[in-house]
Amino acid sequence: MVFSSLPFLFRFLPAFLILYFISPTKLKNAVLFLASLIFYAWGEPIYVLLMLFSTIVDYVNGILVDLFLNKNNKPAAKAAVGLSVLINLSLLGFFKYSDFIVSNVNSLLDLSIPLPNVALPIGISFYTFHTMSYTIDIYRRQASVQRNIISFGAYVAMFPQLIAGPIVQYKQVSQELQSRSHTLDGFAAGVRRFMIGLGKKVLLANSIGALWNEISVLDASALPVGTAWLGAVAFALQIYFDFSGYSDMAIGLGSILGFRFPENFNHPYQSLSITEFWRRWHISLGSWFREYVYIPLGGNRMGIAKQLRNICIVWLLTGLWHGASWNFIAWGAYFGIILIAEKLFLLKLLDRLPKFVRSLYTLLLVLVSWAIFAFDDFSVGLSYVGAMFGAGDGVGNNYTLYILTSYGLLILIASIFGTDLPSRLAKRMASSEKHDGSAKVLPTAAECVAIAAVFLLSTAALVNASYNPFLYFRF
Amino acid sequence: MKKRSLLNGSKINPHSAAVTATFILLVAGCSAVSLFTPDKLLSETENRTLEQRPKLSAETLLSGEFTEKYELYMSDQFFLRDKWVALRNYSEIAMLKRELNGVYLADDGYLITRPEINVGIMEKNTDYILRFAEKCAADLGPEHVRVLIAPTAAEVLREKLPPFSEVYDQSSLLDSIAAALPDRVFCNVLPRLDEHSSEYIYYRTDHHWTTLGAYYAYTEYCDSIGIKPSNTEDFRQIVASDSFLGTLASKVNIAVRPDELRIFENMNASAEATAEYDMNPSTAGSSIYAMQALSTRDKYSFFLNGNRPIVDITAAADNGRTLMVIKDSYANCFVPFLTEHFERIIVIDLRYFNADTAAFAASEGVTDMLILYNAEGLSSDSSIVKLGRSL
Repeated sequence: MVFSSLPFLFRFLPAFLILYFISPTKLKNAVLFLASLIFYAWGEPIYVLLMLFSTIVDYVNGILVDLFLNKNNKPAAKAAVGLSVLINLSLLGFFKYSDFIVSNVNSLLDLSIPLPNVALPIGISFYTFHTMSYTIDIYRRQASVQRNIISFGAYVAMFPQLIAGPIVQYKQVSQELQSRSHTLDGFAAGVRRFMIGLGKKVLLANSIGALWNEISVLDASALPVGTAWLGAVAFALQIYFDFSGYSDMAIGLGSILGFRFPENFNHPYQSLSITEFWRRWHISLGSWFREYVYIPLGGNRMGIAKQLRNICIVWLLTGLWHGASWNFIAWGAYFGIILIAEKLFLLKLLDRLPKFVRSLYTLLLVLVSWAIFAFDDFSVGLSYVGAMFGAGDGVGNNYTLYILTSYGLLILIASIFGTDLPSRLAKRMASSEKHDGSAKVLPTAAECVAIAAVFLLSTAALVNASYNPFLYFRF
Repeated sequence: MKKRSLLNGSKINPHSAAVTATFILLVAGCSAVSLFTPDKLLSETENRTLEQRPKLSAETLLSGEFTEKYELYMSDQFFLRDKWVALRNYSEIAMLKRELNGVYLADDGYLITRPEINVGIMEKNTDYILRFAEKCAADLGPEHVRVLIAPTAAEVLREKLPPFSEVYDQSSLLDSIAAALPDRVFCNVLPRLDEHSSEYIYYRTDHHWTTLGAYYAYTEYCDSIGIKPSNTEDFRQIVASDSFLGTLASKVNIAVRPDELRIFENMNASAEATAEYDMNPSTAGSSIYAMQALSTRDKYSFFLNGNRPIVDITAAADNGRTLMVIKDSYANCFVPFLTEHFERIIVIDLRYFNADTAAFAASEGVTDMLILYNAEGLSSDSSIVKLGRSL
């Protein structure tokens, strides 16, 4: 099930909220767990068992780790963690990467082993990362073991973050799993966040995605520069609003349920360097890799050579996490190289340049990176990048102008929403209230009207849509 | 029903209360209404049956069929569905879009399909038509065989399209088909339609040509086979309906100016043509027009009762000529003009007719053959391949 859909908004969500809020506190995790299973099974009636398997495996492993640590048997505890990591990565490797592995073995060794063609269970990249973080956090004594399998299950399967993140490390919610407060303010904040996410996904991402859909199927050798860049901008906007919108909805739902999920996006297109971009884009993934790969490998504390090696490893893995094909690895490597360059000398150079130049530098590199990301076939992606720099056909034609006039306004509005301008305006409106409460009416009314407008327009788009894909579905 | 614990008994923040209330009202309201609105079987606007409640069973759940169908079912049955679609389309227009769901919002209130060209299918269909026409020319003589590919509004009303929009050049398509056929077998109606492009020759809300547009094509066809066409003065134009909202109106669902559906009644008609539908003798003697269609949404079905496998028309002329028309729906308002010139007209729609058409034509004593399709249909039609049965 997807948040931005009629079954979720008008069947699952109301039923769940009613059940959740009438049930007593000690049953709330159970309700959350069961509802999340239904949510997941709605889209994956068979693979829900796989997720349950991963849950049970790490529930047991967590207990084992805790047991061994209490007996001061560090090697055994480490082995239990190793077992958890091994099982989870094997699951991930099999279900997500087996075709990739087999096809590469075939081309390397000139064989023709048939591709296993395993179906990819939704969310596997997310829930395996969640359960691994659990056992590691237990081992590091950063969280205490969860003996209640229902509560643990609730953490793994929690429907707000199950399908598309943010990647919530166990220690970030371990307290709240035990006891959290459900307040009106939390509910309202959650509503606000959820509606922002719904609007981003349905009204912005889906609409601009239609443009990318048109352009992406065109032959790159016939693509004028203008069209190629418009396409890259369209994809950049689509993937941002799609993914950050979904994260907003997840965080909003979490807030309604009394959880504080970590932020996942912070206006990344306002970044002034690639280093900054990756502190603002898919923040929870970067945190996970830093926490569980980069730092254990030594991070930057073992000399420059090891640091560069660690950066390379993390970025190849980051690329690979996004998908089982070479273009994603190339995409990860692309950023790894730029980040190393920035760390070594580029950032110092950039610091002396005006903000406008730094912003342009960042956006250019990011837009080109999306062209690599967008096409599974690396050679197609490369020819698209070529078209962006003139390898196609001319600068612009009638079609370029047609899409500019059809989508120009949408692109402008979407770009504005990509900055922090709207949120700063909203904050200023909200804080312009006097203590006697009299000036509160306008901002409150405005917000309710905005929420209703987003709600109605999104519902309209959903009723009309056969077009409602979620880009990160491959996870 | 939903409880919220207050933080240490402090006052309720009115801002939070308002936001929460708004959300709950919207979700609860739409959920309840959508749940309790009775299911509809048909959509008049969309002219199709609507998805019904899917069957719930272990099988359908495990295969994912239930959940997939349930989402379609909710969407199809959503209360006030047409109004929601309209709302979405109006918001697109507010964003300066000139195209909705594959339909251009052209000038002067015209809706024009944005043609989707599939070169592979188009070439395949064209090839079948060419070879079939050649076979018929061999059997009946080339003066008795005509191929008429009707250009669509996207071609003839090009200047009305939104700025910078580009559509496939149908004129060169027609020329290339003409060149591949024996001399004069191809009937090119584009120049004549271009001449009259400022007249009401295409519907504003439907993808067909108007009866007037079909008339001009008819005059070209007559010239091409050496018959004298009736003049416009020979006809009394009756407005069968002034509230025709066609296929394109359904796709966009916004307020548009309805079309006029006209009959050209030939005042010099020697006799009234009658039709037998689908080889069903009980329909013999019926009218070629379906009056009942005028009170439904799909008013274009008024002509020849819509698309039937076979319509056998006993026409007015007494010259022993039997015409077979293999066609798509563009021919439906074209064929009535031919009733004065042939003794019998057999209209075949390949979507529903499965026999060997050439053999059938021979067995029925067909003397003339007309293949009539619209240019956009060549890119999508999957039944023209059935002509292969005769080859």
